[in-house]
Amino acid sequence: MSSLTDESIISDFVTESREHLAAIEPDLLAMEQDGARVSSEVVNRVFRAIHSIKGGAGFFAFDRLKTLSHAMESVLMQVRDGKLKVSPEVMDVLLASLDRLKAMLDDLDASDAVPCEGELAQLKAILEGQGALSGQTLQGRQGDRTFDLDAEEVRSALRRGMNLYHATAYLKRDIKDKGLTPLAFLNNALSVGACLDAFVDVMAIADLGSCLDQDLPVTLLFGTVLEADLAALGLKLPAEQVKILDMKALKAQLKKADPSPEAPAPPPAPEASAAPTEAPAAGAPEAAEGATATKAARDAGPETLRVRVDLLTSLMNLAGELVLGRNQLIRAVGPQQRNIPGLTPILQNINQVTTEMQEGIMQTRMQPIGTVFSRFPRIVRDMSRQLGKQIDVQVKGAEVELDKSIVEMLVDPLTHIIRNSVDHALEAPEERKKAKKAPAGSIFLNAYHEGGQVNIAISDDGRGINAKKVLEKALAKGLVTKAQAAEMTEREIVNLIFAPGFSTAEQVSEISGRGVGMDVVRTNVERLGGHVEVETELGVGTTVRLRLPLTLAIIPSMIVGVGSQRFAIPQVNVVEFVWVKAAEVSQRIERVQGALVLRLRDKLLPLVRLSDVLGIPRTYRDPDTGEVVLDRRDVLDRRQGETEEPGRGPDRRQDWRSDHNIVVLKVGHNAFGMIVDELYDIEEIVVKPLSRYIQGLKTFSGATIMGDGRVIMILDASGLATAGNLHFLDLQAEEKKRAEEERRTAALKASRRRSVILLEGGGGERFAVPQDHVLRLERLEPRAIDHIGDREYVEYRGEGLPLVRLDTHLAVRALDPSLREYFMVLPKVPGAPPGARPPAGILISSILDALDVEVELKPLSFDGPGLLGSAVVSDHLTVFLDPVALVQADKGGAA
Amino acid sequence: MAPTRSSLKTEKTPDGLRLVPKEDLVASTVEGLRTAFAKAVEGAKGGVVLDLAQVQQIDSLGITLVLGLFKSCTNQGLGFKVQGAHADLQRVFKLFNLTKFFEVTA
Repeated sequence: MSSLTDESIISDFVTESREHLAAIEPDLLAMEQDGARVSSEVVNRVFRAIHSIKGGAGFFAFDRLKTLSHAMESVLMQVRDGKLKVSPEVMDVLLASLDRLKAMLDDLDASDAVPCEGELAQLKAILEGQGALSGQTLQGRQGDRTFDLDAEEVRSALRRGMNLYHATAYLKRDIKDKGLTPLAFLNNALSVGACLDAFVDVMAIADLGSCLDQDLPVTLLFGTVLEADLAALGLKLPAEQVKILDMKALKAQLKKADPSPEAPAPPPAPEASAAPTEAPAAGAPEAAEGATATKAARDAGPETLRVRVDLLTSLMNLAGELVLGRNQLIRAVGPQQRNIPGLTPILQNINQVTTEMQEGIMQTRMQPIGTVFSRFPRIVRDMSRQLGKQIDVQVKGAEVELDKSIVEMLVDPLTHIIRNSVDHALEAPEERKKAKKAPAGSIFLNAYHEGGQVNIAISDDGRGINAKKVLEKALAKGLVTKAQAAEMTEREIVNLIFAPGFSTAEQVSEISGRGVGMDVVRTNVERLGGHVEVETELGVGTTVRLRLPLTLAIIPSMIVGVGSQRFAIPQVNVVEFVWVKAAEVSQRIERVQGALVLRLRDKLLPLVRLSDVLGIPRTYRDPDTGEVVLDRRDVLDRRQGETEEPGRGPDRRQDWRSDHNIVVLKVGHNAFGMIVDELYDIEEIVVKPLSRYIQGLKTFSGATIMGDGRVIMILDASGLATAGNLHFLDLQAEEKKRAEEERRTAALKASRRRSVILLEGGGGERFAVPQDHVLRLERLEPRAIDHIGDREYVEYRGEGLPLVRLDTHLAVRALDPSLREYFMVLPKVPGAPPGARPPAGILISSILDALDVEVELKPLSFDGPGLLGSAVVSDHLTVFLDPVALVQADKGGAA
Repeated sequence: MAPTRSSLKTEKTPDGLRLVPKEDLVASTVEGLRTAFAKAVEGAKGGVVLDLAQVQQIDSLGITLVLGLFKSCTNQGLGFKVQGAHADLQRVFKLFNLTKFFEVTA
């Protein structure tokens, strides 16, 4: 461990080294993937990163870190020079070494205790395995690009009152284009100071073919008594290319450093620089500057400054307080605006500046999702190697930004999803070949903005999730009832994998896809105010989609009131507002299985009263006395014509006081209505975390302070749905039931007024079916009927079509088996696309007629699927049938 | 500028190849010399010696060209050194610390 213990300097070194390691991991994977075709830029980038770490480690005397990074650098040098082919084995060693470097950086004080003998031995073996190439003159020194400084030389320069500068000169634009030769440039530099060290970035050159197209930087460590602006003038360089080093820090280091006769470890030199370098952060030594400058050069973007996260968090909190203060100020003095000349523009200005400042500070906390995405190629690579799979990872939208806190909390859920994809969803190459897929599977990470939220989709082209097996498990575990299961769509079934208690490790292989601990994923995502869902197609692949808010700190919210209390609802959860007049309550609101529902544009939405969910007594203000009294009525209290207290005027149940304000909220794909007493305004609220005493309350996600100073709770839509015991599945079943009733009614009406086809069944029984419920009538020979088990089929358009006999479902006679031919009624399923196959054919004896009838159907004495009633047609009692309902009933009972 | 055969002398030696530019390594000559260098080192074995005995001046592009030649040699596994450099040239190579990458002698 070094005697240099300036914590801030070392902290900068650690931060930058971690950034280096995070940045080059994808490059290492690219090197493995591209092999000999990998661009020299990628290799050089990795080399430079490791080199910088080595330089810093040497400077601070972290010996083990330096030794390992040096060994890695040597191997990378061989790769860069084309002397070593990147194989998976070589990459294993480099990646393992990378992990060791990370471990060392995690605890620098104990870095010398991190075991890395194995990695060192393997790196050495790789190097020795290459052997010496002929004519390798001085090649081994090529990568040695640190400044070679003699401590005494530095001390001497400082004693002479010199400042030290880090200067970058470009061979073309700074030397040749100014009519100088390199020698003239150097002589000029030496006339105004001392050149302590210099180097040309040789590594930046590819070969003869492209060298003349490059403008190589020459980096100088330059000492002079001149101030910065004069030093730049003296060197004939632009001011931004001449940066003064932190002399105070440098002197402190030299003072603290062991004044041994050995030269001090050299600070790392900046790397190839295509753009002017940036100013060093305050307090940072030249050692740190090199790496910082490198990053800026690589990014070639605006100047950056490293700021502590806790400072940003503090600024964020202060911005929140400022927003609250602004709101309170406007609330307090707003009414006085007209009375005080000039107040209005002042308030407007404060309002504008506060908003911009808050947005700016929030922006400082935004991080690209790529910081999380970047770790997955490595995870996938390591896992796929272990599992013998081939998996490509593609990333899109890495630049999409989210609040830092959200990005950090996404690491675990995303890692979980990716691991499940690799482990369970993507098949081994052999299995993929059998499924006629490419041997290499794909995982596609995509982040994008949509509807004010960030969407993250993790897709794979694996085997997909078997919905049937998911449902079996869900039923076995009692997560859904059979009745619920019968009404569920495949999408709903698949999303049961997020249900708590759905999965355990041993179930994974049976489910043939994902499912391990996905409830934890959902919990974590919902904790962030987000939502997760899965889409899958068996044999094709799966997509897990996360929808997340941009930030958790300041969010636009709807303020609602119940009784005397107010609450905030994040606007992202609000779909719309519905105003149900008192007179319309009975038409718009009803009960289904005892629960309130709102009928909204032919949809049934579960309905809750916020006051009931939160246990707030409902009240109203008596118009006569002005007293606030308990409201004992129910939503559907329809005691019309009665008054609670006769003689007190118009019925309160019918006037505006009984109108309902309903906020429609969405939770994932589901929506529900929430009855509130008052709708106020949409405000930007500053989210304050809940006290630990009430953190367990699922109905609240936080608290905020209003402009008038009162503290209100922020409602959690998902928690409200849970607390309100809402059953979305039951309502969907009810919707389907109602749709079916409507269809039957329509069919009945059609049979009464429209054209029918008269048919004959067994024993001369007569049946009628509405013509618009019939697709086709086909002649059929009995020998064409095939039997499989107890089912009958006939070939229709090249495929087997199930046959339905009327006597199987209805109390009617069977067909005469001696007939030479039958007829088959092919029902027309409403909504089916043109050309769609009918679900089954209904066997009859003969077709009697097609005619228009006007009949009143009578109920039948027996029951059965598809029966509409009976009537006399052409002097014969005729049973009217709905063929669609009949074949669907048969399908439900089929094996 | 088109390369001229007379601008570069190429000699095969027991250790490899000796390249002897017959003109200064400056903006007006580098393009031609680059082509000539590339042709000369193509398929070469052993080491390459750049003999600067007849070079009086090197400008920025000349330095870049020497480094490009060095990289091409190392890419091919060839050794590289500079010989015949007069004092001023040696000073440039030394001040730029290029002597850390290859040997530079008079």
